[in-house]
Amino acid sequence: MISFLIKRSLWMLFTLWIVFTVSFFLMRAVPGGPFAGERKVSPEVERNLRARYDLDAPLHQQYLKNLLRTASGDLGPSFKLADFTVNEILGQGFPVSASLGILALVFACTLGVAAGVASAIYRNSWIDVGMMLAATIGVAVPNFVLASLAVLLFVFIWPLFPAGGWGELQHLILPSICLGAPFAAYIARLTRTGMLDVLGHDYVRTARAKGLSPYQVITRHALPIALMPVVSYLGPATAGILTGSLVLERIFAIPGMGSHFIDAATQRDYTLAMGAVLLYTLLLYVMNTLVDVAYWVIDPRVKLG
Amino acid sequence: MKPANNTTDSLNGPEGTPPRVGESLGRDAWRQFRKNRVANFSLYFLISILLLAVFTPVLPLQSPQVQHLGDKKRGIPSKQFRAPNLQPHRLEMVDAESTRTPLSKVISDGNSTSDPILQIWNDPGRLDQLLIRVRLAIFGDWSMPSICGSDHLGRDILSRLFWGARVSLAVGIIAALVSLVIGVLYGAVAGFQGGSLDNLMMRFVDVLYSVPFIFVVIFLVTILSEESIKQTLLTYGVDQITIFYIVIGAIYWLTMARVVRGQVISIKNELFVESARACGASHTSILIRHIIPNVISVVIVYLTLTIPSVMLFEAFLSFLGLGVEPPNVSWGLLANDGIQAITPIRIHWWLVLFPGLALSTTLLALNFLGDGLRDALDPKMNNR
Repeated sequence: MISFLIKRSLWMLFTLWIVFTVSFFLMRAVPGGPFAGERKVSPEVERNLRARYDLDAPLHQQYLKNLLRTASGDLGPSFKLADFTVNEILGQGFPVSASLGILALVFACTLGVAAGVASAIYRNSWIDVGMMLAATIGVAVPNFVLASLAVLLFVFIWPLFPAGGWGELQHLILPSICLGAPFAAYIARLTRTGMLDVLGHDYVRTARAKGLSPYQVITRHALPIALMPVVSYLGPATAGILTGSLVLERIFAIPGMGSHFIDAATQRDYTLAMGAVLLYTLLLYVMNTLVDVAYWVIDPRVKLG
Repeated sequence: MKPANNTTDSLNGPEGTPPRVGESLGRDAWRQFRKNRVANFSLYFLISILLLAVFTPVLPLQSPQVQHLGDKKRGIPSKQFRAPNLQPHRLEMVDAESTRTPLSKVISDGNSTSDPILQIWNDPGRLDQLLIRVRLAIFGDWSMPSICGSDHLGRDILSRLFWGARVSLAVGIIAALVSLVIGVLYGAVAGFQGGSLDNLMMRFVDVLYSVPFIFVVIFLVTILSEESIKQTLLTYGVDQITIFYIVIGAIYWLTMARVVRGQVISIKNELFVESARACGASHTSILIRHIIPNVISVVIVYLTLTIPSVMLFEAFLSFLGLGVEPPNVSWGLLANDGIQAITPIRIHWWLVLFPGLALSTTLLALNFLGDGLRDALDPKMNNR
């Protein structure tokens, strides 16, 4: 367990280092630098600016200095938003995105597992067919199409929710449903397959034979095993939710990390973009490690490697 | 998996079972596939979408880029945000004095300084120009009414959907092929060589797997779309959309590489590979002539599953304004136009619905097709 975590952290540092190095040199490869905008600044001002952002040193010194600074957790000043450091911007955006993402994940898991169990129990009934059809459509429809239609229907035609913004629970519901829906669909399919597989096993028959209620058979004996594939899907699902939040934060005007990242990308704020990429990599790694550990906790046969 | 023409195994089936007449893997898979009605329907649907996209210039559509902003003084009606309607439409040219002349008259007069076709359609290639001429010969100025409505600049949505389909499908297919080439070569080499090289190559894939690629790609696209870099690349004949194909293709090869490696490892010790080696075939020719053809069925399945994810990724980037750039259109861009145009005052539902519908149905059909092919080609289910 400990050695697994250490190994994972080392790989994570290695990956982060690669992402950092590649982004650093790509950033520096852009001719003209970040200050070659439409508005020309006088040479003195530009020299000061370059000194402020450490652009005047030789490349390898810049690289080392940046690497050490980033390693200590300081992502440096933003190139475009004056007076803000990247840490401050990401620190503001992160809680917003995190609450959106967690709510979406919770929604995806509850709805997906409930739908999957229901279709497995009422196999080949209209409930099953209907839900699996919905799940197939849910997997294929892109979340921004879903979100656009949802905005049209539930904000303008039938005004249930506010159009966008941030601050209250109401602002959170529609975006997190749209964000979680494709993953709910996928989880429903995984749960159904898992349940159908498990329900045919001998020990489930034994549990039934010894007189447990159907509810107990399912929740105590069948479900924990049937959910194994769902647990391993949580890693990719997190990656997908991180990606999806880019679009949904934009549609619903939510001031999260995704909006900042897209703004950074369109305005060429390289330090902010790089900081966000590093943070996303870190998040993904942590989540994948957690999933692996959870898998190990649930199923004693699994070895951590 | 057995080579496609090896039928001896099925002839001498397990004891007690009657010998079966051998059938090629491809034909068997095709028979299995025909049984799956949804997958079949998806296949026909996708073929018709593809044909419609290829022959878009021949169809009697309105111009995808001419704006109908109208002119109140001269009594020219604006077509901004028209709901779906059946009003007849004719192709025409509007000059500086806002006089409108039908396109056919402009062409037959022939005194226009620049080619009118280049003004009405967005920079069509040679072949497209030819197709447009065919269309003008068949249908004249007549074009379909705006049955899908028009956007904030009065452009016809139906026509933009068709021209957008060309870009979206092209991105999907070309980027998937790029990923196919990289993935198959990488996976085949790693699996065939084995040993420390294989170990190293797969470790590299593992590292790449844990990088959130979409963010890196957005970062990359940002840097590559810097004006000066764009110009430099253009001098090498590489334009925005080509970069797009390559970048997307270059990130979707990881799964393909893993799958191909696994397959290659499982067949590289088969007898037919050994006999090829005994005949003195070189490593390269064994790999290309004997091993890769035997992993093709798995590759096809993954290809059909890669195309929708690539198309989705294109739509995603275009939606964020980081992908296909105007005047080119793609479905993602249209979906973004739709969401930009939503206001509480007037609900332009057609701008949101139709692009979303086009994208979703195509992705759905591709998913069904991929599932159907996987079921048909899965060797575990072959002896049904």
